[in-house]
Amino acid sequence: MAQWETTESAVTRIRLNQKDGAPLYLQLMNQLKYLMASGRLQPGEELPPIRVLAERLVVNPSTIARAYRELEIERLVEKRSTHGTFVSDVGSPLAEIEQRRILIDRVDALLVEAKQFRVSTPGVIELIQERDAVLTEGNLVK
Amino acid sequence: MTQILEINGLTKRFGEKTALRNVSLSLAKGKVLGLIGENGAGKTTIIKHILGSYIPQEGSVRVFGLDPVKDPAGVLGNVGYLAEEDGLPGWMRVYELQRYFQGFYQNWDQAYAEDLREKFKIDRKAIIKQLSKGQRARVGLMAALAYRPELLLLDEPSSGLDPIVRREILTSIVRAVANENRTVLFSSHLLSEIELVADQVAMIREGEILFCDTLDNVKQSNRRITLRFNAVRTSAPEIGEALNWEGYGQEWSCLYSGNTATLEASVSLLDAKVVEESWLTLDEIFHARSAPKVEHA
Amino acid sequence: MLGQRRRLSMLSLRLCYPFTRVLFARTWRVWLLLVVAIAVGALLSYHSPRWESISGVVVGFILICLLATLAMVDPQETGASGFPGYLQMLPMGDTELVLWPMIISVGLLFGLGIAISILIFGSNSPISETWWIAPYLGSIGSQFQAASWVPMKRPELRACLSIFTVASIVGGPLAFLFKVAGPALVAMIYLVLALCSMWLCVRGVSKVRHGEAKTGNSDKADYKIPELSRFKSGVSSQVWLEYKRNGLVSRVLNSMFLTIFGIIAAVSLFTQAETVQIRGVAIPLVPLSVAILALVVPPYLGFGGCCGSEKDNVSKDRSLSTFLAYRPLTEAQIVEAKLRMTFLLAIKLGLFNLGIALLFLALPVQLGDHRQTTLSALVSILSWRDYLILLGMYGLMLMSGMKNGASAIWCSLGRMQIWQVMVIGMLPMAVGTGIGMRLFLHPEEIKTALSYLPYAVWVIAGVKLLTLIPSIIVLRRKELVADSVIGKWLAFWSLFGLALFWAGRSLIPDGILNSWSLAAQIFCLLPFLRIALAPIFVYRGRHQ
Repeated sequence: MAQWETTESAVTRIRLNQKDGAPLYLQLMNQLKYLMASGRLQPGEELPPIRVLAERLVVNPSTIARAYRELEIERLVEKRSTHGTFVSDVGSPLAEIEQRRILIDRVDALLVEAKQFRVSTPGVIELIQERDAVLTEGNLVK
Repeated sequence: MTQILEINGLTKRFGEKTALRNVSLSLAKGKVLGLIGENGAGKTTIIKHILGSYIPQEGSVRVFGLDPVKDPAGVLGNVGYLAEEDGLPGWMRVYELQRYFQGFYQNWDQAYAEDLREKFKIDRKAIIKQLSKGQRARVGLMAALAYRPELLLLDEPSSGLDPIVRREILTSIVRAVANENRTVLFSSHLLSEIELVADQVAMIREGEILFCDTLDNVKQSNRRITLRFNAVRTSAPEIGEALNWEGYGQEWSCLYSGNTATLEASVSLLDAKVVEESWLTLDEIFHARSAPKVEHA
Repeated sequence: MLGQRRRLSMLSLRLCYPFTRVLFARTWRVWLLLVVAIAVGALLSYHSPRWESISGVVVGFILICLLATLAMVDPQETGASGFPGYLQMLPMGDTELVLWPMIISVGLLFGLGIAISILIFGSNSPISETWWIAPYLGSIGSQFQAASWVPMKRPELRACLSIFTVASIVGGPLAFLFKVAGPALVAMIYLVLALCSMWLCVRGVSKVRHGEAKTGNSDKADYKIPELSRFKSGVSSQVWLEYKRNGLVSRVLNSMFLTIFGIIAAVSLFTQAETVQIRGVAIPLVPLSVAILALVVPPYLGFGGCCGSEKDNVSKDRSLSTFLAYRPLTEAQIVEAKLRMTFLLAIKLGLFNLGIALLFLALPVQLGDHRQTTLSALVSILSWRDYLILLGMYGLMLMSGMKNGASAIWCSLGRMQIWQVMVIGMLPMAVGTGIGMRLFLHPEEIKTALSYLPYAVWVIAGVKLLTLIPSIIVLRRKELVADSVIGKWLAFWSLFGLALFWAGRSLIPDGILNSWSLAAQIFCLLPFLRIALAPIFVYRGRHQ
């Protein structure tokens, strides 16, 4: 367990946002998903034990447990008995088409809103690049 | 699962005033219950019943299956209590306090106490009343944790303290639950703290429990939805499981506690559509629920 | 007309409010006690207009004043000054805040004293000679306030000021009794002392109010943590707390008494030695009585351990202080801790005072005469049987101290209870001192006094028996004390009572007391009613 006290794993940089009303386990799931998608959590990498992450984030351990459980149901992580929770290495369980479909939905919604706000498509693209830069710097808070 | 705390139909009156009315709560081992409510709603009265300071007028209180009035030693020996105002004797030195507490609790872990003391940077020789408020709260926390009590009772532990001490208190709660499977009952008006560490939330208003549920369920049943009607409305629509309507014209929003499918069915009947569905923070839920009910015609 | 009246009422409002309010709020109990003490004194003097009896009351009253002052000023919790913080916030200047209440109280005492000595006793009676008592009492009050309000960098300075105050308590009456000074001179001295104290108080409070007071905070660096063993149980932890914290008042009071006795013993060196004849040997009176008083005090001071409890000086409610209520102890264990503490304190103070008493007795009877001491005279007349009887009497005193302790457990239930116990406990003490002094000076009246005793004893014994039965029922119903403990405890005290009865029968000569009367007296003496009530009181204060 000691390794988690010292190492700066990507997971330990998660920050939960209290002003967003979304349940904390959902926020945690989304951020873990983002870390996996962006490659900062590699397949086969171990997630911190529930207790350690709970103490680190100062949240109830059952919140962490729930997030891990939901990710496990989505087959993004797997529990290896007694060893801990690891990022699945069976390849992304979300098929590429599925991922594409989700993204298309989001982009559509984004473009509709941009139209309403009278923001041009290049403007939206610029904004996306800007946000990406912010997020890759590790500042996950909106 | 073992129930650490069970309160059934508890009622308490002080003269004319009813402080608690038919309160029932239960808390299983290893869980964290957050008690929320306005000042004077009855949070401290509940905690005082658990500590045996008050005799229930109706109903019963059981802690570890024991009656705190009949068996004060059995209950208090396993309860760690930290209150808003520090009740520690100010004239004692920190090491004297440790020694004094050691006598009472068989489980007192001096190494752990010293560990906490060093982490909190408290001088062993310091006289308690000469410490700052934050330091005194830390001493109180050390005294409440060092015998690893089965149940931690925290009555507004963080009011008036700076963010660092507040975070230490929260961390200690998380640690006690995560590493030692302790049970915590915790009242606070800082709802963001409760939201972080609680499993269950009980909201109390004017001596009555408004709801007592898991945090997830509370969140689930208190979403804010916004509807857009095709026609202008002058009064709030009527939809089952919706509360606290507000709005005017074509847009109306409410707190909704049902599931999305039934919502969509009833909304389409009213010739409207859901334009927004958002989560609320506990703070917003608290405000929405503690607002006096407005009767709509 | 209307405007004038309005202005007048504004003026009286300015005068009356808020300092007289504050004064009244803080001192009304003292006034009440003063009135009661004076009434008792007046009654006694009416019965027999000789000033010996009132002097007993005055002695008792000074004791009350001392205790009252100590009960109002918490010696450890106050820090720099005992001046209450909430008063510092009043929108008034320092002089106005401090001086007016002091002047009003001294003035009132003065007026009251003059009125009593002249109106009640008449200007011809010897009592009118004692009008100096009024400025004396006012001055003592001011001096105590000075000692507690003025911030002191070092605790020794405060101790010096307190000892000076104690010395001035004794000095005036002694000067008057030994005719060193007339009433006018004594009154003058005390008025000057009162003025000095007032000046000190104003300065001290203004220092505290404006943050100039420095508190002795330097003890941290060179403080060494002693090596201490772990407490075996919660009860021993609690006994430690009671001793360290709540026993403090008793220890302070004991040193004050010893100072007073020391001064009396020292003064007696300069005067003609008075003696009493015991078994044909002349024993010097003053050293003997001072030594006896020094030994009598500790068992009665032991109850100090029961009185105090965290925060009880400020809490107005009737509940047990929360810190004590939340300790994992049963009600019986709380009582046990307090009674153990009473015993511990009585024994420790007793041993200390025994040393001091021996010192008093070993002093030469008169300055320059080293040949004979009171001790040598005493040793020559006492047999081993006398020592045993004295030891037994001491045991009885310890027991009655424990009784006081058990009733003083009320005191942990808030401020009002402290006052109740003080009124209940101290008034009989004051009256008893008066009666005792009278009987001491008029031994021919002892027989009359004893003839009234049986009736009083029978009434008390009846009331006790009537209360004991229901309290045992309550104890059992609420399961506060195990049945076996109640049984053991009744058996123990019954045996103890029987032993006392046997000892009394064999020691007291026939014809003074009949057996029934003796039995009733022993029944009154045994502490079982109060000890049975104590857990019930604690229970009621703890669970509301």
